[in-house]
Amino acid sequence: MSAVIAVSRWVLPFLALIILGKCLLPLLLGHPKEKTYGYLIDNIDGERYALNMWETSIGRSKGCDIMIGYPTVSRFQAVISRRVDGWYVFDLNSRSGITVNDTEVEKKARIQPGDTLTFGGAKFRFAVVNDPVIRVGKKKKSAAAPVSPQPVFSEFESDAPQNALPSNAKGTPKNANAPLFYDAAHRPQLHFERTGAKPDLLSERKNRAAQPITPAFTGQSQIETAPRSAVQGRHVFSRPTLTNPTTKETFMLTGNYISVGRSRGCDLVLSSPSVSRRHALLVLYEDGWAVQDSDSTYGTFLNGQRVTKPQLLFDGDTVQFGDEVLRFRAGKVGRV
Amino acid sequence: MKQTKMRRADRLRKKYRYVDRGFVLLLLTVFQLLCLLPVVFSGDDAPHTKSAVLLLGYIAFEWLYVGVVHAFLKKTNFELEFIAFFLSGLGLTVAASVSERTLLKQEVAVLLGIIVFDVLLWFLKDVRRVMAVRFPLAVASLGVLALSFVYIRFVVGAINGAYNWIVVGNGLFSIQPAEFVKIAFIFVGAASLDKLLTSKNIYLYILFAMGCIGVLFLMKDFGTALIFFATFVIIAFLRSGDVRSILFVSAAAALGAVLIVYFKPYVANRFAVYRHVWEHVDTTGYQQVRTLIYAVSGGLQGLGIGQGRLRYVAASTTDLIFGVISEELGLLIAFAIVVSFALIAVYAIRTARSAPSSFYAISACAAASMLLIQTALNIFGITDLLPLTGVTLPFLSQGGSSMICSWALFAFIKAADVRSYPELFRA
Repeated sequence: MSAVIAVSRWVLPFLALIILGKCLLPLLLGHPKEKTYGYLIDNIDGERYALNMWETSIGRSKGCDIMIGYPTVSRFQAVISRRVDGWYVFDLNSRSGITVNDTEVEKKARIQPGDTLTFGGAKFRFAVVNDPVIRVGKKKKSAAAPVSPQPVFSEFESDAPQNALPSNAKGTPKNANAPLFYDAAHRPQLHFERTGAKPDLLSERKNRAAQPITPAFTGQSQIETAPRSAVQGRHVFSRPTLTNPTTKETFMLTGNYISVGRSRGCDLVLSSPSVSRRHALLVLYEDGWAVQDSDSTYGTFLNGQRVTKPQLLFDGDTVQFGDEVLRFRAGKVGRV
Repeated sequence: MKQTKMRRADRLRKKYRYVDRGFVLLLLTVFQLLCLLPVVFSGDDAPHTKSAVLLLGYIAFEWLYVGVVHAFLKKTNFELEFIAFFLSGLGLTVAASVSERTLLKQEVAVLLGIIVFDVLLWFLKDVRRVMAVRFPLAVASLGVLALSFVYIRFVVGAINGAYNWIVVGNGLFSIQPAEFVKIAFIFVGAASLDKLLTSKNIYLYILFAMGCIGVLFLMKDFGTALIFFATFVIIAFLRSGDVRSILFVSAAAALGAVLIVYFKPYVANRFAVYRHVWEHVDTTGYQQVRTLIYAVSGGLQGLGIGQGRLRYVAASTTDLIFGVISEELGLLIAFAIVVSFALIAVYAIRTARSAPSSFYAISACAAASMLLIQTALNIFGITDLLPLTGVTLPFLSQGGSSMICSWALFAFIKAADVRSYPELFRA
């Protein structure tokens, strides 16, 4: 026995060091690295600011995680934070304040992916790529795979498991229904009432949606919903377009407004005799492109309904000028 | 070329992603069995079967705990628990060599500590829950500390020159209320911050901290007061990230210390022996001098458990336990203990960056620094590198309050690790 004890005195330190080394290795090698949970995308130049932490501070100061150099931004403007029940933005008593989709934030506000945040006049779109929270609330008995609570934007590389993408619970293939673009369903709430000069497009649109729509254009309704590259999850930066479904001619919407008509002076020239020389205007409002008729002879139609006031365009809408039918694609970031 | 390198790093990362539970447990078991042997078969007496059963029960409990937690809670990160098991096991070994009663008390303390650890870990899972109790907890803990001071000051009386012990049940066991306030101190310090970069509740926290430190001063528990103050400075730095205000706070504290020494010279007398222990070998420097002498005589591999001389010095199993281990288990094991505490710091730093909230990050770093400060005060105190303040060595010193508090502080560190809540967070 004493021999064993004598040997053990030499063995013990080595055992201790192996134990501690084994505990150290996972810390040095296998520990979870910082991940990009989401992005803030500058609306002006498309610059992406990665949200690498659960709490990210935003401001003009160098001490902030995301530094915004605008003079209107306070030194410590805001904190974007993932709490267990969702993403939040907190106002740090900033002078210029924060708005979420044009609604002013009092102290904190819950934000959804796709929301537009304004920090002292600088507009950013908020996107989530890897939601770090697996499940919220009580345990569900169903054997369904863990579903993240909010739509995950798949326009960026996502290393979240594929089943974490939102599935529309109706037995449809999982990725096919993931919201790849802003469409009407995922579009943030619009607030026009703050800018009194602007027409109330949204309520008009809602009224129209309540009426049964008879699509003027039914033959090509099976158009693919998204470019292939977007389905693969690669980052594509596409502009809003108008496409002729039969000829596949595509017209890109750039600038602030586009005139449509038969005349050579129009930005978008449609040579059909049913199109007036100056038929309609496409105008870029703060919340996206809208179409308005310019007293055309044969009228402008949005999804089969005659346009009398300016109407906002949503992804997949059908716009008809005379008998020329075009399909609107909203693009990725809206306008750049 | 670069690609193969990347693949190798990925492979390594995959391989060492989680601590190898079975292997480390096996090593721990062998280690603790080898520690157990000389305790059980000491001298020419019959084997101490009771101690052997208790220590074997501890080893079995480690397996059971890791197995149950892994099987039912699906947790995979046991690094902290292994470090705590390692340190507690060494403490239990020393306790077993003193007496069976000490061992039993210490083992109950370990069990209570693990229960507190798991309850706190569950509680910290939801930050909203934490935010709801922070103010009641602050008021309650400050009240308990003040009441216990009044109780000890006027009813019980001082033990070892300080008013920090409450003795319950005719000396059956004693409680140090300050140890439990440590938990509340970290809790309130981290939780009173709503989000990054806000100073909304900082004044309330300063009041709370100053209240705690003031009562500790009145208790004459200067070691714990120093731990609280250092932790307060660290929490203040973590919350603000501002070096200047930290310097300001420290300068104010230094000035306060000078004033205290000026008006109450007896406080300074307690530390008069610092750096002069060899001039007071048999009086005030007795413990430090004996620790230094006997730790040297242990050498690299030690004299063997129960063979040392330091254990006959007062407070050998509480304040001087590091010296006892150096003498009886050798310098290498003592070095391993220091490495374990360094690992705690590494763990806190690694986890804090990816912690799910600033509360977790701050509480983990504050808890780790509290443990480290306490370790430094203890080890440097008994070796006369710092004034001897009589603080315990976490996990190793005999004493229930200290053991439970150490485990509770580990809960804060572990809560910051996203892997601790596999049902909630994606690691």
